[in-house]
Amino acid sequence: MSSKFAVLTFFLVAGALILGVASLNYFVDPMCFYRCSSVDIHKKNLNTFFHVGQIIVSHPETENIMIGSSRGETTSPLWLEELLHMKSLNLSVGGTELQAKLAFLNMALKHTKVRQVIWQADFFEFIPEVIDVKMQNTEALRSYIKNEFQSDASQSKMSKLQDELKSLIDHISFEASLKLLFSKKVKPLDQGSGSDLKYKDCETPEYKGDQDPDKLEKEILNDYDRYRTVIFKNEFSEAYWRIFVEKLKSLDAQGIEVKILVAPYNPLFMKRLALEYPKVYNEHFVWIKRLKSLSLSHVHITDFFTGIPGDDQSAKYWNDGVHFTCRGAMIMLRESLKNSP
Amino acid sequence: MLFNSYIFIFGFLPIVLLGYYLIPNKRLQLGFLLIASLGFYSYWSAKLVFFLIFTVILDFYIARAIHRSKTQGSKNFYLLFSLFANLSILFFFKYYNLLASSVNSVLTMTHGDSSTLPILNVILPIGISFYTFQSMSYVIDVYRGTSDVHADLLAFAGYVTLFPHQISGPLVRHNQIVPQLENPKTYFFQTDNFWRGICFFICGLSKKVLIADSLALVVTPIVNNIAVASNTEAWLAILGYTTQLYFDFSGYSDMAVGLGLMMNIQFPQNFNSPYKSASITEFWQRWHMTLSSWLRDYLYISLGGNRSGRLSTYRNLLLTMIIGGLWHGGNWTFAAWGLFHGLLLALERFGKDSKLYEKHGAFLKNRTLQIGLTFFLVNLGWVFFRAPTFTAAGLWFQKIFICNSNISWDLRFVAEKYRARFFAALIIGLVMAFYAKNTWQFKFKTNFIVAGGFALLFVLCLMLMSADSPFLYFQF
Repeated sequence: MSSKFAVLTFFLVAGALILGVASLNYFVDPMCFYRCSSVDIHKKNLNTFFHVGQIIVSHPETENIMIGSSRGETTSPLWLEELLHMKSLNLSVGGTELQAKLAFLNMALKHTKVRQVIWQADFFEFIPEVIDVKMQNTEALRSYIKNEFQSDASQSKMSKLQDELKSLIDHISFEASLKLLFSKKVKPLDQGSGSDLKYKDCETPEYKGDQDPDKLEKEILNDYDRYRTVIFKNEFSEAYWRIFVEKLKSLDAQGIEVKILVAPYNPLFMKRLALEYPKVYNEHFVWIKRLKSLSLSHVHITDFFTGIPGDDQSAKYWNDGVHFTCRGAMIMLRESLKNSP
Repeated sequence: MLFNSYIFIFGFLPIVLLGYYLIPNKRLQLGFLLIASLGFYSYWSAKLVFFLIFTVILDFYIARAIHRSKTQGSKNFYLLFSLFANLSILFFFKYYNLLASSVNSVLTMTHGDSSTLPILNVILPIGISFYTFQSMSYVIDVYRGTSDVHADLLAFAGYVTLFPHQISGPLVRHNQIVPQLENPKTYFFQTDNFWRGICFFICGLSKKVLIADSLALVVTPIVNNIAVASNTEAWLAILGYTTQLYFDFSGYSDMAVGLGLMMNIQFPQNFNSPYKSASITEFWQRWHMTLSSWLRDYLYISLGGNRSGRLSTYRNLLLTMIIGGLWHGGNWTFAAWGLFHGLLLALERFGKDSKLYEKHGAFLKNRTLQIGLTFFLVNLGWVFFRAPTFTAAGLWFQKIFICNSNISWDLRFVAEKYRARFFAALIIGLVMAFYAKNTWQFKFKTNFIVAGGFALLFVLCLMLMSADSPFLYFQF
């Protein structure tokens, strides 16, 4: 075989393999990136954001929703129901930021009878660089934030194209396609994150948390590493802040109660943040001050940024550097949800 | 723009190759290549590309002025002017903050005043160390009379800016590349070279994506938290980083060679299985070979080399290696790394000069033992190279030699989800580094199995390529 045929063979085989992988990913569409124009509750998928959309659509009687990132995942919606006497969903999911949170909120406003929103606030939701590909590429979700994010300048056309191309041939999509093809289990459309939490145990004196206490310090430092590579190095977006405030005003005008909960980081995490990134640390306080200065009659802010009451810094309160346990969540939310409708 | 990105592989590269071969005129092809290379650089920073252009134009005309000078005095003046201009820019961007923080530290210790020199928030122009050295070597060669001046600014600019080596080398010489750019044959499509280019590129891409990036997933968090890492993790970090750095940088070099070959431009070899070395001297003949030879030709020899007696030779070795260390970045840890290697080189030289090995080193004659010892010492050196501070390096050493107070053996920084990938990459990487042929030793046969195998490897890399994984040497 001459080098000419070797080159041709290379391109033909590589082309065929790329086409094969891309076709599989496109037709199975495990993440609902290509073939889901709307949120269909029967669509089997592995996109955790799309799954939240399915939960919303399948619970039209909902009156109370909790919206948050992975930091909100340790709250049981059943406990919220018990506490508030309102049909509740916990729409918290890892990786959400402002775009995803607003998409879920708008979807809930359209498909449910929501009267109260618990907004688990995160500083990083105002940093456009953290937008997850699951939000960026899922048209069925993006259609819910068309009004708020008409021109999303956070991502250039080139990098968007690169993301789309990548999602068609990357190993994550490929593995997800295979997993979806061969799995018989369907994730239940329960009440969202924390549905399977034994929340009654969380407040008992015997509660010890799920994290191995010996591992906690390293988990905290691992989180800190992740945060400093993305979140601490990027700027707070004023444009995102304005969009957020406009949304709050709109909810306020509709008479919907909004409980904003500002939760802390683990004290060790916080200490390093203050020491190594004093500018970012101070920006957190500026952000909280701005939140508190919003004078809207239906919007209430509860600030626990300096610490959870009773926190002994153990695995009883913390899973890692940023995620508190169900115990921590319940202590903060009890305070935040006083005077709910 | 990274070589291991979709935008490069599916956008930039096909456009450049098509343009390069479809344009029917040699001058236009060279001009197109220059524009493409400047575009490649501008993708990272449209402003800082002007430093690159400035360096090219300055050194081209200074070399010409040296050539035309009739007196030694004016030649000296032009050379010093070029060195001053090039090194000032390099110094400002790369070493100013090191100088400022060092001066401030000294003043704090002596006078209690720490804010004498401001620390500037400057962005280091990517590839500045590489293009400055490449451009400067041309002026020095013309000054020394070891090279003629190049008549064509376009070819010289093409050489300095050429996108495959622009950011992280290999550190090519003008007399290797400019004649190729001036040769009309370079601009005709040659399938033999193109095929070898594909093979080199995919070998490099695989080294980067499959080995180096898999190791980085574990090495980075351990090194960032070395104070609380366990002793096992400290060992894994040192072995992992040693392997990662080799596969990352030699992977980049292979990709650069492959890209050059796709355009019929042959770059020199930069790595020759360095971890198979049986001494530190041999290591430097096999590791980052283009930098080693640059330092030898333009620094070590300029300092007097080995012509002025033993002590001067040892001093020159030390100085060359310290400066070579600092070339990598504005941090004293790089100087310490250079000093460590300089000392080892001087020690080896001393052993050779005084015939110590012959008299007393019989036990060291076993090559496997020599390779093992060299590898161990190189590993220790990388601690200085990778650790952000001396404190971190000290902690790392303590844990490697089990001298820390709280000895532990857990693997908690080795995330479960990366564990299998990390250990597989580490084992495969070390086996390849010690026992396999390197990319330059392969013949790249032209049969269906090889072509299909490379296609499969390429697609696997595309699938595993992470969105943002810069090469380690980009920071230098």
